[in-house]
Amino acid sequence: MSISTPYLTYILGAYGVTLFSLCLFLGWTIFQWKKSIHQLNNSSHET
Amino acid sequence: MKPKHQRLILIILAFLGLGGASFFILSAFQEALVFYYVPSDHCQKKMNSKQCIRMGGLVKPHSVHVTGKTVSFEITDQKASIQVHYQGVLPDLFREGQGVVAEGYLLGPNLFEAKSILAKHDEKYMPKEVADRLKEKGIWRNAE
Amino acid sequence: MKYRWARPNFFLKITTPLLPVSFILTLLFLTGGLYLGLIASPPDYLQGDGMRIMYVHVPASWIASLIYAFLALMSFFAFVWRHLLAEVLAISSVPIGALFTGLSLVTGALWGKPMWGTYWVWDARLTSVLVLLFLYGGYWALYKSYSRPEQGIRAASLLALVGVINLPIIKGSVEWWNTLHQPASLIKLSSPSIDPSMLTPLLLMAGAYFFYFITLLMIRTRTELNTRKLLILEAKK
Repeated sequence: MSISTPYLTYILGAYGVTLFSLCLFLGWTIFQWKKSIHQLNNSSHET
Repeated sequence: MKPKHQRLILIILAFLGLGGASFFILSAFQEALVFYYVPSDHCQKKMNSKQCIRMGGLVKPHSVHVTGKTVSFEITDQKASIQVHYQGVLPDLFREGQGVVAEGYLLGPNLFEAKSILAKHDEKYMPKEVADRLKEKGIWRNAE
Repeated sequence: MKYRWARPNFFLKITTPLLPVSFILTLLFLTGGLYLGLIASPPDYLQGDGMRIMYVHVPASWIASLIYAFLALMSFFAFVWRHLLAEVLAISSVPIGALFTGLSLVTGALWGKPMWGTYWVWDARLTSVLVLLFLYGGYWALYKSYSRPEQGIRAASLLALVGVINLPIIKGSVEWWNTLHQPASLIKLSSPSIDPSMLTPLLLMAGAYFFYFITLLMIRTRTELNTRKLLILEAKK
């Protein structure tokens, strides 16, 4: 790809949005997973 | 009958009903779902010049003339063609022989005043070298 | 009760070794797809480098539809057989499907602006993909609107099954009606109208998205099962 392409902003925008969303969603999903494990451990210790 | 069989039958009946209903609705709205008309359509149906419509087809080769800010060209669907006038910026894919959709008003039986122009792309993707080779060999079908 | 949990446990057992494999495959396909898509593949004869947006747009649309088909199948099992694992798989796949539908719409708009001359038009293809996003949203909302997941899943499953009608409409829209959107390049019985040098990055990105879906589905399923176990533990107190 040549950097001088007139579509550079659109291309970087599309790839940027895609990669950013995929990473963010992965992070959020892992966070929820860890949280659920934590909650489950706490709850079973109490009982 | 077990409840799960009842649910199975229920869902199959519901699905058949909905499928049939959607089919009839979509057939009935055929006209409204069409994004644009083609030049040979409008000859049969008398259209109102005050109504904003979309006209689509191929840009007829050698018909594009630019005078100042005004572009004029012909849209053709190989059966009929229509003269289009337009003032403004053309999209990058606008080429002679390429698909285009013009939005605007039908001024006369053969004259269309466009408010905006959208380029239509076909489903072919290839590198420039391949396209050039096809053109050299003469097996290039120009935007059909 | 026992048989309700037996299968999810079996699912957890077989997917534990699969999770890292699927994640590594995602990274491999993504690296290959991005390298070929952004750098090594040639520009299009007509669209130039703008074509590169296709490599992130088209696979996103495929995966969005694929996830919906999966959701509908799981909803069918969940509705008729009340199968716990099907319920959990269904609700876990919804946010991932919505993500890919959203990405398809956004990247499509970013392609449409320079190529068509507009971000958005209300043609049959674009509208039916927007409906797909609303179906995912509706499923999520219906599911969450009940306090107990067993009730929410009934209503949501019905919506998912009704929404299956939309899948053939998305597929057929570009052939049945005049749309601004171009017809499919690849899914044709005759030779696909896309050059091999461009098909490779497209398929690599599709692979990356597919394994991303599998990876995320496995993680989300675990989370959902934990949440449900937690509900049962709380109820026992």
